[in-house]
Amino acid sequence: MGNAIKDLCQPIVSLRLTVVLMAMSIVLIFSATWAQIDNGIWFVVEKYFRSFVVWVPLQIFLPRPEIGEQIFPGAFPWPGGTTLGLMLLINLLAAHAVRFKLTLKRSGIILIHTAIILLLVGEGITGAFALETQMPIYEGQTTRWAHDIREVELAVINHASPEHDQVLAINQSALEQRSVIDHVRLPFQIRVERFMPNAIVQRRIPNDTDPPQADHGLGVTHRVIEQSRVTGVGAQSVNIPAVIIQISRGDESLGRFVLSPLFRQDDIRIVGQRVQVEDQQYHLYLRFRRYYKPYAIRLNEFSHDRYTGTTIAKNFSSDIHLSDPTHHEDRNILIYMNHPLRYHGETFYQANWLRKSDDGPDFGTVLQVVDNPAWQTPYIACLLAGVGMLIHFGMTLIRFLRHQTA
Amino acid sequence: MVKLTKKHGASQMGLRLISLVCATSFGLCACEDEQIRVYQAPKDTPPPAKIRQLMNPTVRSRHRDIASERATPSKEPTWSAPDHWLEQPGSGLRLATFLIGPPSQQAELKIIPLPNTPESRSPIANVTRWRRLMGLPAASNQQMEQSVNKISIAGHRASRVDLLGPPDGQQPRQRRVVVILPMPDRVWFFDLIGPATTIEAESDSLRRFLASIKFDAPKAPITFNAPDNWEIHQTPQPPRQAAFTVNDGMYQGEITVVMFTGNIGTALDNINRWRKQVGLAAIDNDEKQPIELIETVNATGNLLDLIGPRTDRSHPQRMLIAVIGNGDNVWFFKIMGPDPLIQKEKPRFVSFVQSAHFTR
Repeated sequence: MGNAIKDLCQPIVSLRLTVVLMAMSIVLIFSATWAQIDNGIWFVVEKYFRSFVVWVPLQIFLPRPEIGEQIFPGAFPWPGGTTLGLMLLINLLAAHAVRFKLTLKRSGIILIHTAIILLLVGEGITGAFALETQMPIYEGQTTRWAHDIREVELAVINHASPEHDQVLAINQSALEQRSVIDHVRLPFQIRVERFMPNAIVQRRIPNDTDPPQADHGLGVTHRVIEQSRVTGVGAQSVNIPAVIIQISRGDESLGRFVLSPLFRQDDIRIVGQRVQVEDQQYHLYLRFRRYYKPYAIRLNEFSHDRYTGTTIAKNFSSDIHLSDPTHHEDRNILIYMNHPLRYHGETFYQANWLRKSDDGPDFGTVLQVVDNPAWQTPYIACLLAGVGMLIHFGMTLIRFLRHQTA
Repeated sequence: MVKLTKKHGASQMGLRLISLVCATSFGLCACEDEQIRVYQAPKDTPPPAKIRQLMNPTVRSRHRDIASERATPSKEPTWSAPDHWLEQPGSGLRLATFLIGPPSQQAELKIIPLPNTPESRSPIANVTRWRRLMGLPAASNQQMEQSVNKISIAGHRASRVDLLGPPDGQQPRQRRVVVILPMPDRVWFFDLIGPATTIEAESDSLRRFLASIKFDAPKAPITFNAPDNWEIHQTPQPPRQAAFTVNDGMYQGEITVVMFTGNIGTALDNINRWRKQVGLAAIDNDEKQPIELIETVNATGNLLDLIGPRTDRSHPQRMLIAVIGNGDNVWFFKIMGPDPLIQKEKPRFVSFVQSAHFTR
């Protein structure tokens, strides 16, 4: 039986396969690094490392074309990070099943390999399940949500109830892929006329000869202008999409709207654009995708100390109140640099703050909320690898010294 | 039971095993979110009142006077200068210039506002430039920071820079004392340059001058009292001077205060434009539109009540609009929304218009 298993694993145990996979990983990392000149880091991570296959454009290895010049055509397929990671993992597990014996002499190597397996598995879990969001809160305000600034959603909200809002949220992928959006709970049909992955908003000038992009709402007085996606080297770090939609109910048009997260009342609140359907009012928002929490966080005070005579932060901290009746939590907590809050499987870091200008007063805080079920694996892996190397090199050293004295 | 041959069958099984692992992994990793999600969410809470005031300092209180920042010019400083300083009229970028001391040893104090940018408000960036202009050698950031002191001018944080130029043969040694005062919309420079002896002699006068600087809030063109249940927009878009929304849980309405100067069209044009907004047909004579008189604190105007047609599907749209003339300006106070909401809000809207006080 043991021999049968060994025979099954022969094709995938080869050390040559390991070397080939590592070389392919180097090429992948090299390509992704070049790709970051033109695209933001999250786009590159998703496309190159959290995929099975990636088409690598040849242009990324060449000087960027000037305006008017052609882009160098062509691309080649390459295994993505998920494929290479899986194959390395299988290769390592198979090698252990076939070649490695569990002995004291091999214990160091086994620990190091276990650490590598843990890192690979941890990254797979992180890639599949981790979520990073931001929670902006004004001083004195209570919030129950965080949003993902890498993705937007079109929220159709009925504010009629005094106790809660009824939300129908349409993901960015639907806006990008589908031209018509229909749902049994949606009171009208939405036709996506144009989705812009990154755009700015400008006010239309009084004698603008270009027709407005919308006939209802803020699109009558404002125009959205598409921009290139953020790059890894530009000043803007976050794509801010915009969308032009036509809303209808049966044969009746309810209007064409322009939506953007830049239509704001303040740093947090977006202006909703109204749609009347019979005796119900709905508001349309294009906002960063929200994740609601089962608990509430209130910002009591945000502190921001600067080095004297400069605007360089010396310390900033958020004094918050956490309220979660389900788990009987009702306490004040201080979150500050290198001292995050870990609660409900999430980690809250002090990330940024809300202010009008560098010298102006601070209005509130921005907490980074990280939900990563595999957050402990890098620490455990480093510990195992460290112990493994101590054992392995320690044994090698002892053998050498014994040999010397013999 | 099928017997596998050692080599060939084992390789096939191995390939199937690999395929199974990959397919399972693909299945685990390839799960997607639903593209449309429906849920109930808790209501968003607006920023607390004190934060709203910090964000828009001219909106002092919705319960008392509300001034629109867009109607008012940026704040300019006032001061009390010593009698022996000769004030020159402002020119170009300069708000004012003072000539100080005897003609042979004269120093000049310039008051200049520049746009508020990171470069203009950075003491280090400015000191670097001034050192070069004065012929001083380049200095490290630490050395430059030592020539910058933090002071307070009119209750605002400011930086005071004091630079002594190099000896220049027979010429008097130059000294430059600059106060950099960043304000929300501009950075103010109080820039005194001249012979070091003159500036030393005027140090007390300069200190008193800086202490006298004030930034008084200019008068807003209008003040009014808004009802508690109206939520104010922090950044109304011109020509709006103020904007509010009102929501009774079922319906939402909007209130705007707009000011125009000059030609605003004929009364009939405006009436027909408003009638169209609520779905009414145009009229050929403005006298066919009922109008009431309405008085504010110090002006009088007209109030129109327009109700659109009822449809099978929705309540009619209704608009109340008060048109008040004040000098060259014409003010429009408008509330618009579904009829049941406007009916409820009408008394509050009328009180709101009646509380308007035009200051200029």
